[in-house]
Amino acid sequence: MPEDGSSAAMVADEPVVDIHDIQGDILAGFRKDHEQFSFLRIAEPAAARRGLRGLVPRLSPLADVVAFNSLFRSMRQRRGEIHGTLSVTWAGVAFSATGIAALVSPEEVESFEDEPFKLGMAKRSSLLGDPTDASLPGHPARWLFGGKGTPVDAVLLVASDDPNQLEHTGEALLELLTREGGFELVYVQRCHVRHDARGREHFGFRDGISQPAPRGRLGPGPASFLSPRLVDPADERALRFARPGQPLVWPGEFVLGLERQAIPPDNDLAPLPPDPPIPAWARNGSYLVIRRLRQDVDAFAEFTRKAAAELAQRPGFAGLTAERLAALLVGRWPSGAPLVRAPASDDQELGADDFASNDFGYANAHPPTPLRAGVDHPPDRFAAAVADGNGAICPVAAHVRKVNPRDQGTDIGGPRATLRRFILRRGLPFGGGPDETGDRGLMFACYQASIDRQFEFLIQDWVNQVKKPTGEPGGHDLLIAQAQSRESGRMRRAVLVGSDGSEAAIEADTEWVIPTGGGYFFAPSISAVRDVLSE
Amino acid sequence: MPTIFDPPANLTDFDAIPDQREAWHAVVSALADQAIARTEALVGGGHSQYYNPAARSPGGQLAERVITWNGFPKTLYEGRTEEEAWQAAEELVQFRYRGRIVKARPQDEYLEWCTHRDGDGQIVAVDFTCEGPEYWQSLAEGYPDSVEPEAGWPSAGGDPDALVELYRRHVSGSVGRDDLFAGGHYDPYNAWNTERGAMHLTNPSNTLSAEIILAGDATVLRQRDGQVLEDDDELIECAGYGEATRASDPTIGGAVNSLARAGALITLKNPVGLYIDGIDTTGWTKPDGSDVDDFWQIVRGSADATVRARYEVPQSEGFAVGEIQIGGEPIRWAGQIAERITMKLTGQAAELGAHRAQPVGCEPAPAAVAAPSHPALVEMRVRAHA
Repeated sequence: MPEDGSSAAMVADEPVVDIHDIQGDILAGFRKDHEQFSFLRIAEPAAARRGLRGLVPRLSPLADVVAFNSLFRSMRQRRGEIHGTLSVTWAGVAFSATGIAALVSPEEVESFEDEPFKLGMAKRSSLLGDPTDASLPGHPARWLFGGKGTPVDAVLLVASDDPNQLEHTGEALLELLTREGGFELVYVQRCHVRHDARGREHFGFRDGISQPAPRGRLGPGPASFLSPRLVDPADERALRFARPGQPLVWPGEFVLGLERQAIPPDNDLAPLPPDPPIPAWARNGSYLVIRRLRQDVDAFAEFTRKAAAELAQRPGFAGLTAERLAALLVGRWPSGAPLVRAPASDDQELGADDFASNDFGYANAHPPTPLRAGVDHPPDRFAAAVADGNGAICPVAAHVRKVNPRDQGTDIGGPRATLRRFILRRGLPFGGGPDETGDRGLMFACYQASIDRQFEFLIQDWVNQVKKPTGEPGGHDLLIAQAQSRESGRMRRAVLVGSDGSEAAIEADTEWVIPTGGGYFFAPSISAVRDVLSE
Repeated sequence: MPTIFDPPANLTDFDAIPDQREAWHAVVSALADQAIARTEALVGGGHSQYYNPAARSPGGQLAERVITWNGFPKTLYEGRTEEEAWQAAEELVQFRYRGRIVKARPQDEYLEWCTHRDGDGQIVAVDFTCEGPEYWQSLAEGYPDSVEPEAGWPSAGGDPDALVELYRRHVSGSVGRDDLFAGGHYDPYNAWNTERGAMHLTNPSNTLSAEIILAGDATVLRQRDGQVLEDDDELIECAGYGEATRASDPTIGGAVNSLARAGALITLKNPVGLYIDGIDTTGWTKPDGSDVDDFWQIVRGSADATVRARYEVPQSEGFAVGEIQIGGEPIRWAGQIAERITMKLTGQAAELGAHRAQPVGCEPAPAAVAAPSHPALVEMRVRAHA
């Protein structure tokens, strides 16, 4: 029964998730300014298992992370401060297939259902569109970790509000795992939010705005939703969105062994029963994809400058600037303001509004989503999104439209079919430094219940394809696509629609997002680390 | 200029048969008229937003909309692992046709295939087709089952010899004329098109008439509680066109309905048909680890309008399809290939903004008159072999 008499009456009861067993980064996100990814190789399995035993009490459960995030939010709101209100350091761990084989057995790995996980990212790299020519940057032979010469068995995640705490805890936990010679360090990547452009990735765009909202409860209480419900219950979108533009998804799409998302013709407001995970100890665990993506900021800037200058000569594209072209490729302006709500120019206030900047669709006009009474957020006063079916405002190949088609039907069916394709993104920028040059990029990380159906699907079927998720005018996701084809090599292309309705294709064979490491991991439940993977 | 409907992919099989191209035009035109009649039954005479370009030439520019979807049957993933779904796709399903039990493929995204294996069970070739049965019935007898020729229509009679010749060329040299006919009529479910090969589509949902009726039905604006429906999932649930479990039907219906809501007249582009848009072999490797070459052979149609293709490694390469790896996984099932095939159809919209029929309410039950639905299928599975 609903606690508040809202339209949530039509939603089936949401399950209570095991907040003490699920690692906190998966469903809640560590959400820290500083994070260290330590990639490890198992040198001596018995010692590694002993090291993991010591790590168990240091792993951060969902309960802790949710409680902290809630406290942090409320204190920040009350004090109006962004920095320095509270500080904590979290830890998490995940294992590759080779890691589980070493810690348990190769047979145990075989019982996992996810084929990409079992094969590992390096073997799947060509399927992700990465170069197959070993002389090219981006080929797994050249990766810093997880590649053909640099296998990894585990990743230790340490995240903190405070860089000093990060360093201290990171060192202590690494020492714990390596002191008996169980684990050896392969590579460490420190990540930090950009000091000069908080919340933005290195091309200059605000990142991480749109995330799915896992359904589920933290406990039996009335205000216990894992994803707080902020939409006015009188609006029917309250059934399917936690807050404006943030779709609710049953948690089994992210955590194994939980209730799964139903899609039409089944009622999406009721879950499908959980699939018993194989092996059984995989329950409450999640697949973690990590991909170190180096960004060549100069190459991207050069491309947008040249392409915009060329396009500007054509009718329908007069006055096109490099900044606007970059926004067309992303689907948002640098501030995060979506093109369909700010077609003409960037709108800093819209971009800074977490709700309004995520409240839009593409196929149909989208009036702003009203908020539940009592939600402390200014009313949405920005222009509503209009229908943009053919991509006249936001190109159909724009990055944010490719990876999240929102209200559009796609090559896999109506928009609700997309609910099974979402991932929980947990990335942070790396590199940069004071002069913002050199090796810099994004440490992409995401959690899901199926690498095959979620991360790989998004990359292979949508990002790297010209006519998917929707048909023409089409195009690759020029921001991040890795295209490798026999006919056109590394060439990627996208079609833009001009103000007069004319279409113009732009092409690029220079690369500005280059994979330099990565792996497929499984982030087990804390009890599985304690009872199965350690001793 | 009124449209003269051409055979799908501008195939030339009808060219040498007297009146056969004209008969085909009459068939497609009749199916368009049928689609219009269905919509007019809902929105009133003269208000259909689906139009027959053979009878009406709208003014202004025509806008085209290419609609794409994945070739592997999405329905089969439900309740199955991926491996189980690939396997299930190769198991024929039985259903009742003209009073007898026949076998058809469960591949219901307008793409069907037949897998050829060697004695060890390794895949050596796969034939893919997206040709509707109507074309083949016409080739056999002049007109398809689903269209009753009216007085004055061209007196085409098909060419059974040409039919047999095509079967021999594309399926097996052993095909005999008697194999293809039952009771004096062409049998779309003959063994060479089911257990032993794939000449054209067999799934009851995979027909040209279903495609046209779906497009027509989807032009009807729908409303619930006074709100015009815009969501693809709600539309198919409300209107009952096609099947919500498929990738193609909600997507096609939703795209057509969005054009109808924009006030357009809508039709399917000539030549009306379902087409293979292409195959993506990114990440496919030979046994030596190098990228695969172009082993995709377009057998009927063209690169822009493919209706039949074969995936086979030339003998000179020294390995079989089953030795190709997709991201480290060997090809064990043709479904792994079908997952990388994109299907398409092209809609045309005219006179945008000038037409908008009154929305109608929802169907009382999933009517699904557009396509015969799976409940008709008897759940008896027979393993296909070729």
